[in-house]
Parts: sequence; C-alpha cells; structure tokens
Amino acid sequence: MVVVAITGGNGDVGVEACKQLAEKSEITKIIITCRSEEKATSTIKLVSSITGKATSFFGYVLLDLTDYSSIVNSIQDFPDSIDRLCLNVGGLGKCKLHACGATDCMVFNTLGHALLFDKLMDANKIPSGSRIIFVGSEVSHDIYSFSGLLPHYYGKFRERDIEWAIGTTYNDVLAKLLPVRGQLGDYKNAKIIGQLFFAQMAKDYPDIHFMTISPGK
Amino acid sequence: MTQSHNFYSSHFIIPTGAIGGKDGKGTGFTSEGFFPLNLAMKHAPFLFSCMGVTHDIETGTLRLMDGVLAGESKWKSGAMVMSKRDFLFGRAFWGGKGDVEDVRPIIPYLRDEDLAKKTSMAVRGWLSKWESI
Repeated sequence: MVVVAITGGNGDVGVEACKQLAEKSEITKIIITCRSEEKATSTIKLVSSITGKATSFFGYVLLDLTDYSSIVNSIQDFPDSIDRLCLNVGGLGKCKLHACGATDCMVFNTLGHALLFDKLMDANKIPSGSRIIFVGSEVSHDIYSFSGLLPHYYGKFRERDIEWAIGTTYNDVLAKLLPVRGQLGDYKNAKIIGQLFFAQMAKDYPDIHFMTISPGK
Repeated sequence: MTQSHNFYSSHFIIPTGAIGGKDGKGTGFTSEGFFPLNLAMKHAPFLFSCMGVTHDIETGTLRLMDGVLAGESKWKSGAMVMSKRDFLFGRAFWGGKGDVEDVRPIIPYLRDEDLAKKTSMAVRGWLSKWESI
C-alpha cells in the first residue's frame, strides 16, 4: 500500500513517471499536482487510458508552487499519509525576481518545494519511513560539454554565496552577451540550494528517507 | 513545468533539467530556454545527443523508479544521485547520461554539511519573508 504524490504530474517527466509507477504492484495510488483542474483531469484520463488503470487510481491536487497561499491551501487536499513525495516541478526561469525577492527559478524549483514539505510535515502527512525525492540536476556541478552556456563554480560555493544564489539573478559578463547563461546560472543555483536543503532534511529527519535524483539514461 | 500530455517514442531529457520534447523538438524546459538553447533543441536536437547530454524520457524516468520511488531504496538518505563522471577516463563530468552514482561525496560544496545546515536556515528565512508579503 504505497501512496505516491508527484508535483508537476502533467509535465513530461511527471506523466512518464505516472505511467511507469502505475505498473508497479506496490503502488496503490498516485496523486499528481497541477496548476489547473483541466490539465489535471486530462492528464489523468491520458495516463489511465495508457496504463489501463481506473481513473480512481489517480488523484490530483491543485497547486501553484509560485504562490504561497496556494501551497498552504493545498495541504488539506493531500491524502492523510504520503509514502513517496516526488518533488518534480522544475525548469528554467525568466531571470526575473519573484515578489518575495528570490529569483523566479529559485521559487518554483526550490522554495515552493521546501514550503510544501514543511507544511506537509506540520500536517503530519509524511509518516516515518516515507521517501522524499527532490528532482535535482547535473547542473549543480560543472558539466564540461555545457561550458560557456552553463557557469562553472569549480567546486566552490560558499556560505556567502547562499543569499546571493537565492536573491540575485545570475549575471556575469558572458551572461550579458548570452542570456541563456544567466538562465542556466539561476537554474544551477536553484538546484544547488534545493539539493543542500534536502540533504540537511535527511539529517534533521532521520526517520524519513531523502534523495536527490537527476533523471537520465 | 512542461505541458505536453502526449507520448512519443523520441522524447528527450537533457539532464540539466526536465527537458521534454515531441519528436526531439523540445518543449517545456527548452521552449522556455533563451537563445540558443531553444533553437538548438528545436532544430538540431542531435547535437545534444552527440554532446552526451540527452536521454530518451522513458529510460530517463527509470532513474526515479526502482530503488527510488518503488522497491527497496538503493541509496542512503541524503544521497545526490546523478550521472557518473565520464570524461578523461572517468575523472570529470562531461555530460549527463549513462550510469549513475552518488555525486555528493565528490563535489566539495555538496558534501559540506555545515553549508547544508546554513542553506536550510537561509531557505527557512526566505520562506518567512515570502509568508510576510
């Protein structure tokens, strides 16, 4: 009896994950989060038709990870006990600052997920033995095939960089010439902060299993 | 933050994020990407494959299955699982495909427990700030 909740369940990875999870005998319910009811129901219909599972096998929670009150209000709609929480929503921002002062990319990749986790814990919806999966990325370290497009930190990211990474859009000389570098810089910072946050949660909550996983081959 | 609801045999993931793409043309991550990422993924997705950074989405999502969301956990709590080092005879990270490993012990700032603690405190500070607006 395993209940899985996955944020961004209507995205490419989310849909594919639902499809693959539905084939696992131990999984009894999959909850996706979505920003709109229309997208949620159409995704569930699609996955149900592909997997042959009844639509009742799936459920959804409306949630916008860039909206504080949306996250807080969504908690009551989650099942009482979540065995696997996959924090999958992510992507590139537009190199802008969110109303809270953090980069837009930081908010929907990391801060929104941190808030969701905290509120689910407050509501006692994540029992001992659960797993929290933060979908991370290889950009959190240097990738040499992406040199130029992706900023490299050469193993150095210090305490003084934390506030900068959260509250400042990446903007070096090369990023002025190649804006995608700034975009990937923001994304890199969001993933570093998210991975470190959930690594600390692994220490703070030893009864819960935390992992960062990057999708790949 | 991708919107595609359809399955195609040639979805791709670039592990720099959840890049999905119909027929390798890119959606979501890539369509949101600024130049040249958006155009390159749309018109020359094979370049990313040649660079060693693209994966098909089905096998990509498998990383989230056995030992992660399903079955017995393969990794210790706090692990950061992603592509293994592959460049220079396994001494450096060229791309993001192939076998995986826990890279946390390898990257100095990711294995820094004090930094992780300070990061969690900073994140909570930002959450309080967010709540107050």
